[in-house]
Amino acid sequence: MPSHPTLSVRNLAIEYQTRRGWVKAAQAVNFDLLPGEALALIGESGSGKTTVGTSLIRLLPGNATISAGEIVYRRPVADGSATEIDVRALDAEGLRRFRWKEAAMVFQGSMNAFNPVLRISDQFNDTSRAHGGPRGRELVERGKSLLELVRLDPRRVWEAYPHELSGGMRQRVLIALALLLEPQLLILDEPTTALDVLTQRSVIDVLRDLRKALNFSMIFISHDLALAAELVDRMATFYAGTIVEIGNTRTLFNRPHHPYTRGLLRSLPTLDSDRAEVASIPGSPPDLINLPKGCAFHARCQAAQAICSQDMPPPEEVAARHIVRCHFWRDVAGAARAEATR
Amino acid sequence: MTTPLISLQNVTRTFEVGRQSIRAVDDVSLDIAPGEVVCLVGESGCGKTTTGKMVAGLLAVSQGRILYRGQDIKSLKGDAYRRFRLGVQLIHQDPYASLNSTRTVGQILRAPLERHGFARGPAARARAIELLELVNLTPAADLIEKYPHQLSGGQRQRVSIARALTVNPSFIIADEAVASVDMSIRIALLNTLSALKDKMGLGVLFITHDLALAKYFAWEGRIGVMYLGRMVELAPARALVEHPRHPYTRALLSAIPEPELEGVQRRERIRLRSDEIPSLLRMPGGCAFHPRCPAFEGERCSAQSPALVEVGGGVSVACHPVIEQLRQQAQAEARS
Repeated sequence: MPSHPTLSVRNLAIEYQTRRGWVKAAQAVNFDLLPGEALALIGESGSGKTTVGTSLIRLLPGNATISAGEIVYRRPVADGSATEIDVRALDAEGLRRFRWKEAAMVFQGSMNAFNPVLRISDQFNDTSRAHGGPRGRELVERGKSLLELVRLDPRRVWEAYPHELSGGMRQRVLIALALLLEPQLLILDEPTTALDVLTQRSVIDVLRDLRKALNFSMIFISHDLALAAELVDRMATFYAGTIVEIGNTRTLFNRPHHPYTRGLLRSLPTLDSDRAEVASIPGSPPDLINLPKGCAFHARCQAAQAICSQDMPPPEEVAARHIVRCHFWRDVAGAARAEATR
Repeated sequence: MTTPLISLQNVTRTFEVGRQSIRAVDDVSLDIAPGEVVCLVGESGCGKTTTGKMVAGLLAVSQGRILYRGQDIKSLKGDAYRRFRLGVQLIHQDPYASLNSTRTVGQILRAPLERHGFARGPAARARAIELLELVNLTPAADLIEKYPHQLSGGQRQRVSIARALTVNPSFIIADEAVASVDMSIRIALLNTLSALKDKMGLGVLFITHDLALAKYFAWEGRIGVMYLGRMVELAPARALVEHPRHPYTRALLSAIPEPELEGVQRRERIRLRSDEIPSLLRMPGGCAFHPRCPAFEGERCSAQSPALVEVGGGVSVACHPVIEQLRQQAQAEARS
């Protein structure tokens, strides 16, 4: 039985109005997320990953508009078909029902996400009431069992105030809270960025266990490739507002087909890498108000030729569910392969 | 033996918090030779930044002393003090905050040149351009007229480096100096710093939370790992990452996310006995790591704070079980 994607994004374009002009934060973004699948949106600051992530539950700031494209969310129903929700078309009431129950988001900076004068139990209560979730004893039971799932002791945490918890604990409470109404889709924006290495590790482990136990779909927004690689099945590399490569995590790491993905991987020193293997990408990202003609990466790209500064490369499916936007992906893949076997 | 450029001798720094006092840095000793790179690595609250500030002379030590070219920096007066302050320069983490937004790059660089009598007027401008070229900011003649907000994060951090170099320092302290810069340009910035170090014979104290980055940058130098104010392991950079001795270093290394690459063996994960980092206000007795340590051995660890002991190969480690084990090994080898 073919399963319907939980989320389908088609030709999404988002712009920000600024004094200097319209910032094209995202354009021609396409991807599908299958039920139970985890996808990472990877990129540097300004690449559009957070913009796209927040647009999925329509949480964009006031100066942003979705100027084109579709965001379709699907909830499976008993007969094997699915109820479709057009996220762009939702009104205020529809959004209230959609958020948290269908799709929930965890932000970075967990301290700011809580009301500092409410106990954790009250934060759960408020959320549940606002979005039509369980009440009374049922809520307490569900809340406490979620806290256990994220490896926290409910006896200590349930009646605590946010400031009584450490950063790592708060981040885990936030993840538990996001799952309160059993959403099918969990979006996490840099959930471990402010955390130390060992604390980050425990949050990663918790997320991995949760996915096994609850089987939700996940979108993980991060600039940290290695971190994302531990958690997700698929990765999408963002550059200047568009996905330049999307595919299976192992493929992207071992056989990147886009020069930018390849460059990013090479710019990341690992514990095992030799000094000579590490190299940065020359230049810096383009101005999103005046995007260059052709491929946005061409000025920094070592594989670029004349056509790259003229035509935006179309998305090409180079293998099953592996899509690349590069005129010369064959050469890049070949070079990556040669390097891997060296 | 040559005099170390910087020498920390049993340095402790305490802070008063309400009626209590915490030890942010506890009995740290470290010598840095001219031209040497030392990376300080650790999680937040481990004392790495406080150590850097003390070396820069921005914070006084509570106990112990810091020597600059053999002289206690506390005793320096007049010209000798000025030479120390010029000789040791700090590059801050956030170039958005550390550069004056109302001054052009040229003004930012000329101010210290003129204030300290290195160059004046057109010569100062020429030197500013030279410095920008040295940190690979080109075309320097254009950039000199720009304000910080007109530059990218990476360019701004290069201006910070150029500014630190205006006064011909012999020692640079870089506190998370590349943390705010995107990864695709981070390495280029580090390479610039590395090239300058080689060219000008600078000693560098590089403070970071990222062990992979520390290994890349230090390479021929050393890495010191700090935990709750104490130096727990100090070793040549590659040796520390490839053959970590201290249980904390090993746990840190095993917690770093790593992609599954073909042909690369994954590190074995080390589980700690507790995920909770103790508060500096309620420090555990004995070895500060003992409540979390997988190698915990009972009373000795919880009662006695281990000293940092040299175990050969330039490696020093502060851990009772590890030192004991190494001693037994050495004895067994001596017998056979």
